[in-house]
Amino acid sequence: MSGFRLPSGGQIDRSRPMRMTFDGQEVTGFAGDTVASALMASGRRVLARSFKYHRPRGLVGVGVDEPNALFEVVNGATVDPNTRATTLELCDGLTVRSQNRWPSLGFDLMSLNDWVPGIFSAGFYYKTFMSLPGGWMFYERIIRRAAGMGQAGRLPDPARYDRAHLYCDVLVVGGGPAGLTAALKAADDGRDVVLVEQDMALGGQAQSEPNAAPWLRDMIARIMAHTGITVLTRCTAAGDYDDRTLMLLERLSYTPDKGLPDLDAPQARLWITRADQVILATGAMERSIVFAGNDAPGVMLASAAAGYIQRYGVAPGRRAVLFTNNDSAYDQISVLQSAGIEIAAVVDCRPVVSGNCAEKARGLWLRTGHAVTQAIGRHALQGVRIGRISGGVVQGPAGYEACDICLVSGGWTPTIHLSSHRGTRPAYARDLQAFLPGDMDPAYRACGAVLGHWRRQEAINNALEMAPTPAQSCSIDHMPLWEVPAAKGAGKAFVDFQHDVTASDIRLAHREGFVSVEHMKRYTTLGMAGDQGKTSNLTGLAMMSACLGQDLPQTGTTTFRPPFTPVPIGALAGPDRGGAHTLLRRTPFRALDKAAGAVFVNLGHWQRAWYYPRENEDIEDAYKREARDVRAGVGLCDVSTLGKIALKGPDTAEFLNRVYTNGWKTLRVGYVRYGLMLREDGIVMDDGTTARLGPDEYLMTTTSGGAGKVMTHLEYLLDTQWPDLRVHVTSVTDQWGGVSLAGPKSRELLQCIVTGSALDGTALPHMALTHAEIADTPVRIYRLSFSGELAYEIFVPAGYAEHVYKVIWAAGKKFNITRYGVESLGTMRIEKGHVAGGELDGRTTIFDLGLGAMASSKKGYIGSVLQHRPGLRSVDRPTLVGLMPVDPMQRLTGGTLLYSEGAAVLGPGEGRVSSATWSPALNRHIALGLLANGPSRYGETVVAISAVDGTRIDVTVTSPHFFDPEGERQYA
Amino acid sequence: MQRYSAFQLFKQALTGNTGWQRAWRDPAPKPRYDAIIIGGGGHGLATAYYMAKNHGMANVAVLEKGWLGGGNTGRNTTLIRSNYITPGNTEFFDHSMTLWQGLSRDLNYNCMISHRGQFVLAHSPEQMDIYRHRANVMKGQGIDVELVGLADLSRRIPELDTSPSARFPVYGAIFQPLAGSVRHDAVAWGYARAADARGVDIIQQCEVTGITRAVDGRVTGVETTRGPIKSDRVGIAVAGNTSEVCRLAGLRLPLESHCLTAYVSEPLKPVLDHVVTFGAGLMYVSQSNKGGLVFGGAIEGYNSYAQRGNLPRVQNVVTDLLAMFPNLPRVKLLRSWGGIQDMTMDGSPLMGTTPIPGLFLNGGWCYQGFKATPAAGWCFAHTLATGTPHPLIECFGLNRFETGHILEEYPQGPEPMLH
Amino acid sequence: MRIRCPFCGERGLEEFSPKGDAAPTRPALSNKDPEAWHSFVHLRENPKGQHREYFQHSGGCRAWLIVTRDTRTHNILDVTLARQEKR
Repeated sequence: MSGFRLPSGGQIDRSRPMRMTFDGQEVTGFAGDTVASALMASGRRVLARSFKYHRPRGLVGVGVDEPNALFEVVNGATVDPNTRATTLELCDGLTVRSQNRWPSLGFDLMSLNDWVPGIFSAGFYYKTFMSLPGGWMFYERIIRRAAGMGQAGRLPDPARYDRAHLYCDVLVVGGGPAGLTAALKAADDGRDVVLVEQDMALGGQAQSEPNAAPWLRDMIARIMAHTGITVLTRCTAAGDYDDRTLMLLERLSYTPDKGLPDLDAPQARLWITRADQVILATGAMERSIVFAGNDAPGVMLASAAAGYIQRYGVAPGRRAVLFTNNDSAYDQISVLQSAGIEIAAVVDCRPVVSGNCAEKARGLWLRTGHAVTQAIGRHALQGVRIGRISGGVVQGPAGYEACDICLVSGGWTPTIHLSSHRGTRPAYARDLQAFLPGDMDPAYRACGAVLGHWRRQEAINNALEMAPTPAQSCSIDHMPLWEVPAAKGAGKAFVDFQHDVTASDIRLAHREGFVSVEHMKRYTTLGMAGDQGKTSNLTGLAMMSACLGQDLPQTGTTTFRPPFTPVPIGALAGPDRGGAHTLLRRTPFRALDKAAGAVFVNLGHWQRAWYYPRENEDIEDAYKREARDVRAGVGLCDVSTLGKIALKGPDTAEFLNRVYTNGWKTLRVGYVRYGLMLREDGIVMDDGTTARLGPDEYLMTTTSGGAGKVMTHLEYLLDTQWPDLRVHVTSVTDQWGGVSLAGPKSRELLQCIVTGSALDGTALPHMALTHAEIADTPVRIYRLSFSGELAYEIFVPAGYAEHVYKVIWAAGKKFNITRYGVESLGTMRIEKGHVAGGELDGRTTIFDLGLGAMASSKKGYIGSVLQHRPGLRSVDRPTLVGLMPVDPMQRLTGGTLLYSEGAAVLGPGEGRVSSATWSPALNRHIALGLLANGPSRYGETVVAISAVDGTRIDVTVTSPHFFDPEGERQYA
Repeated sequence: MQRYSAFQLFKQALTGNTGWQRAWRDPAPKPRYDAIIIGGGGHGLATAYYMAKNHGMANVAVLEKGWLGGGNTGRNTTLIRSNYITPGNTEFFDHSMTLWQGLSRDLNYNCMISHRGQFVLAHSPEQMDIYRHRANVMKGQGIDVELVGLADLSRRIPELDTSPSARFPVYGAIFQPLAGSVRHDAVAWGYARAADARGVDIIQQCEVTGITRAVDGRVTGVETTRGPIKSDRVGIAVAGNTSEVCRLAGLRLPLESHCLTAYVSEPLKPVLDHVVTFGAGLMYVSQSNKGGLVFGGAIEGYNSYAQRGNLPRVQNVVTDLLAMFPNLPRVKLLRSWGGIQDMTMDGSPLMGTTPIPGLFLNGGWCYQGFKATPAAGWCFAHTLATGTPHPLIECFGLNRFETGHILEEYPQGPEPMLH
Repeated sequence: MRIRCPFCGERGLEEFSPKGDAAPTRPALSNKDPEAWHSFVHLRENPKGQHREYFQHSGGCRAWLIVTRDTRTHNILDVTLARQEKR
């Protein structure tokens, strides 16, 4: 038991006790505590086990830099893994548990790893586990189980996340002294300011500073009162993207006021923020010094200790050794003393310290020119060895000093992450021994400690400058000391706590030639853990530089990447979680279809009626019945999903002539023509019909899936390629509901309800259209057929579509009308040999589809030249054919390969089945396929093999036009 | 070369790991080589290794402008697979898979080749037909593959959302058991170490600034930031920067450079045992041995050399991920990074000879670069050594766009941003 | 990324769809030379640096823009209406 609650002090609300459980044990704290401060107050020291060696670990930091104390937060069935105790606020009823240990935190069998000397060195896994062929799969199972940290939930998690957009003149990142000052100044200048602070409270390091409270109170009051400033606390600027677009993550759950999260309420909010100017007042983080055993629970950052005392009224221990290479640690002395902590020694590696420091350490055992050489204690710090150090080398034997905490300050590292998310290389300031923000976009400013203005007043002054400049000299005297060389047998000295990267790992990487920053990082995994090396990267770099005998900036710096701190994946998806980023489109007949018991299927973005099962029918029964009923009588099918594009303007015919392969100049008003469009490279892109509604007015239909692509294609051509053409295009897909009324009785039915137009074969021949009314609703009626029957496509303004559908349905009753879905629609089009998705797969040419007659040779059009490239015209290309199983009852499936009889079943085959169905009209299975040299092989028997299904079927190659090849029915 | 083994590891551990040798030398460039490979990524290093091993050509230099393996080799999502449908691609990637299987032992470097299997989800009955076609083509090549029905799929990946009411309902999947993941850095380092041991000079921090040619047009060598180096055979393996390097020789190519972002979550205990690919958009996820979920999506869509993307793509990718795995919203994204891909006009690579005698090209890898590494090295080594393309890469020739022998794996036309 | 649409003002990247290099010039439709078409359809400068590229304001006014952008930094230098420039 070491840490304890101080009788007074801190920003906690002692009138509001809060209870949590940690690994099943109750821990109490107060509102305003973090889980870390509450656990510290409870006296617990070991809070976690390390990644590789499973060494017992305690708290090192007080904020986002904490590398060790990561927990699983459990709330009902949900789990938040890898949650940092130092930023998780204590709230009543909270349940957290330690992770990556077995069977328990106190006794972890995996810590055996720690006792095998030297085996688990950097990159050891690259050098072994190779002996068995495929043997890695065996070892991997074990290694995977041992690796990892927290557990992810296994059940669907309803967690909700919010998203909002934020626009401002100035975004100030960081609510420390510089940020507060900069925000106030910008707001006073009349700018619209947003101030974001990741912590629950404003103030940054000033919160841990003994005499800053009055200033801070005053600043916060002025900021909160200012109408020009929006303050977002618990909000992290996690990423910086192009053109000052920042990703902010505001945590909404786990606050003492709200208590345990309500699963229906958003857990966090992603603010997509667009600022004109960004001020980075992100401060700096203290770093440690590497020495043997420096991960023992009780060794922590000096500023963190002060933070626990000042912010939470918790003392981390009772007897401290302070170990530093700089002046800033001396500022903590009074804080420690105010908490009643006995300071056993102040160990400073500098041979001489200033009078000011000596004054602050008055009465204490100040050991200049010394260093802590080793921490003793595994589950808790027992004491430290202190030795003389000179020139980075420990001289002579070391003495021992008992202590339960060792507070280390190795200097300060500016938090420059955001400044380099967009690729700006950091700039090294030799005098400060720090990387500062590099040459940023002019809309970005940095100020305060991130520019090396370490002390509060300096940071404030810097923030008030018009154009804040980096510190020219270091205001905190310091002497570089990254590492105290460990004596033989003194144990491991850690650089990166979370990934268990030791000083000897770095030297090993150097010995083996992994000397560039990225090689060192990847080989040792330094800085690749959850904290992304916040406290360890620079130290590792400095140590490698020392190995190489070169300057730190010569070694380089690793790249900082978003996010600054880890962001829940759910928060990035926000309200789109259910798939709302890909809109689901429904037709105007959705409700009617649903009432009719339709089964729906997603095709592209559309949800369409697939089939309409009657009692006890499955899909097979249903589609066969539907297709039969249509050919026998009349059926109604929703075709609203067809893409519909209105074209208007005097050059429309010319435009159509350029985008379609066939001719369009002769199409008369009131008629419709089928057309094929090619891509620029001559492959078929889409097909559909275009109707001429008036002299300069056309309506194009596209495939359901191709509508967006075709629309974009047309707009692109008109805007960028042929702006001289006087044509306007408008997508009207959603404006019109459409049904296909097909079957021999369709005309008779329509004649019962249509007014305003004659429908007989002379008035409305095949491929003609008319404007008419159905039940007082204006409709467009096209005489078109996809099914091969006498058929009409009726388009109705979408708002009236349901109404018209009902009228048609009611009138159809006496004709025994049936609804038919996309499955039976597909059956009928296969019977007719019409191409669709299976054939228009983006790889076929117009010739492959047997539609070469539609490729005009009288004009140039998109794709007209490149479609004739030799590779696209070779005779052995798979070409459209019909396929009939020799045994009519044998079923073909799409994706089955075709081989010549007797040929070796190797490679991709000579073609494939592209679409297959049972044909009610022919009473047999049929299919369309693409077969090499297909049209010359009619009558030949080939073998259809689906090796993956283990099927082999003899099929006869035929014309693709199975049913009514002369088209007598549709021309009826 | 110091042999790596469990025994060696044990032996070195006893002496404080001080006896490990450099993984590769750091040589100064010689004035002339039999062949120069521009680009010290997986492809360039593999090429050098196989030139030395298969063709007895060790007087070869690999020139790398930064640090080896620092381009796309160290930035991808580490997946390997050979589920290709286009004739040419199928055979090539099958060869790659064969080489992957023996790679760790061949290189004496554990590349952690994990054949954990990949599921590609089908979200419509039509998509199942497309996968059946793919599976049959793979079977025709002798590749192990199966079509997995919904019930089986949901048993094998219980966390997958297979409910019929899902926004992207799942109908089944195509499964390749040999697909999986490989530790990407280890591939670069393993090839580098093995090539170095055979005498290849790997020269880092050496940027090629010019390609020198004789009056008759033949290549005579390169200019670099470390001086001119002569060779009458120069191979380019710099995917991401292919256009830039080819420009040095006056070549204009059918490709664009685009940024692809990859993502990794915080480390988790095992939660996903396979590679799973979404079928209603481009998105793929697996769990690394360290425990992070490694995932990626589609390229940004605009030309870029910046190695970083923007927010809209991040949002799309994670939304697709959660559509598949609704158990993961609380898992935290740890890091995202970008790599620059050569995107060709048909989605397949550009490999082989160029109109310039002595200049050879290995590029245009689109999304396939990493998984192609061993076969690309194998075939490019043959091409450089013999002067003629290896039979497996004849189909990847630069002139296929003129002849129309295009290889569209994802048929979208000559629009790289859609591939 | 934010693009200043001449009609709609500055909008986020998510509203735009890129379509690649704006430099190649389309051969006349009467041109039957496959080389000319191959070059137009397939070959790209792909510069590292300043690049002129089509973007459609697909989630807005649907106008096609030519955006001049540095491909190393993504900094946008100029945005014009394609229709105006190409006329």
